[in-house]
Amino acid sequence: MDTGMENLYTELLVDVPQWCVPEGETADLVISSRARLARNLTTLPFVHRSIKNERFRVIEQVENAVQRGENVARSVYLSLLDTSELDRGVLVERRLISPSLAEGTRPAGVFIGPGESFSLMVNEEDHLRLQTIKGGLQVRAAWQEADKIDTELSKTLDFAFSDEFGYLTSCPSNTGTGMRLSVLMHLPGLTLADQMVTLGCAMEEIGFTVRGLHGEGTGRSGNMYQVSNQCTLGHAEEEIVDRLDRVTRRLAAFEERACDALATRAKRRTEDRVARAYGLLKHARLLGEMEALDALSMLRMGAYMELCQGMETSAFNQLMIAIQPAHIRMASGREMTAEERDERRAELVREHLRF
Amino acid sequence: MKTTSCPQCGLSASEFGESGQLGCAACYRAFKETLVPLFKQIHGNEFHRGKVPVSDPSRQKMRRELIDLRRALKKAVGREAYEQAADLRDRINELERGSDLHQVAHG
Repeated sequence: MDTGMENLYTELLVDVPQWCVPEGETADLVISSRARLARNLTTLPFVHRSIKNERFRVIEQVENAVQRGENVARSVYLSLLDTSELDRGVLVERRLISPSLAEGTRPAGVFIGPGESFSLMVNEEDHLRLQTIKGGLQVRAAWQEADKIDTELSKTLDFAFSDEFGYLTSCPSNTGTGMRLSVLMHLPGLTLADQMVTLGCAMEEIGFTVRGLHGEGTGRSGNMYQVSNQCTLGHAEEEIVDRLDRVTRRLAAFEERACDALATRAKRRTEDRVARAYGLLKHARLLGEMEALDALSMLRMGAYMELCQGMETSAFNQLMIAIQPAHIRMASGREMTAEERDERRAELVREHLRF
Repeated sequence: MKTTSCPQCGLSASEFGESGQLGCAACYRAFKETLVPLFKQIHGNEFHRGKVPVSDPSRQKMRRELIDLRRALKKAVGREAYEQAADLRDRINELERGSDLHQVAHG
């Protein structure tokens, strides 16, 4: 385990996250799979009720457990108190920490695994929030990795657990397995066919939530959606894994059908949308983030429907990360106005569009 | 009578009502009467199934058995099979007495 900020850009974030590399036949539509486990220590008050010293004790105990672990020991620790606002922004944009952890002003930190394969947030809503991300539809692999790390940690840490209620979490909506399993999907066909609201309601009926790219309370951006389990109590992890895997495959099949329908029933209009998006990305001199995401989504759909040339799926995924505001500021190494960021974003996109 | 505050961390029922967040592991026992209906509403369930901490394999086995027994008990009560329910209740009590699980789990 390493500590210290000098590692952030020289060792940790130099490459693209592992999950950007597409896996499996549905990788065009399923960008990534994530498992998140919430855990608390038995002897200390939960985070929102704890004082500064208690928060430091949580960090100490977790650090100790990480050092004794096998896989988890190969991680880098960042103290959020010693992290600049820009670095926090970069970590949020790479989905390594949550926005609420980034905004906090009290002792908190994150352990980040090699290739950004996992992150372990300390003193978020719960003492520990362990997260694993895999490329494509790999909910089972994401859970298995989280399970392995959780087991390693539980050899040293005494997690709050009751036989009746399972893992005890700060919020009753996470009690039980403490697991939130999710997939990030790109569903432009279903969005254009106005089916996402209906699908969202149907998914809710069967215990899954559909949300925008950045989670709770966010609208759609770039036609990307997170699908996750609602319930954590009363269903074993493996059951949730099986169900989300099935549901995701169904959604991917629906998306394929929606794209087929666009290709047959609205061919000209669809080609027009894709070509306009290409024109915008190719020629705009100032590009806002949402505008860029939406246009990239159309280009990605066009490539998927074989209406135009596209980029490699991994290039789409990388660009999606690189065009976010903190990443643009970080790459330029200086403060920028909003217009300068939009200019740099347009350049970045053009560099990737090599046709 | 319902608990008004958690003996361990001091979280009051009204604070819990306002924030929707529990204060510590012991709150789960203190506010059990409020939590069970809440769990049914949120999760459609009131008992955990799934992973248990791996600290001790024998305890883990017993925990799994307790979980299964509690589910069986609930089903038996639902079917009004009271004789079977009483047997299950006895077995649960026996297991809980024979170990420190009850204390560990709730305090």
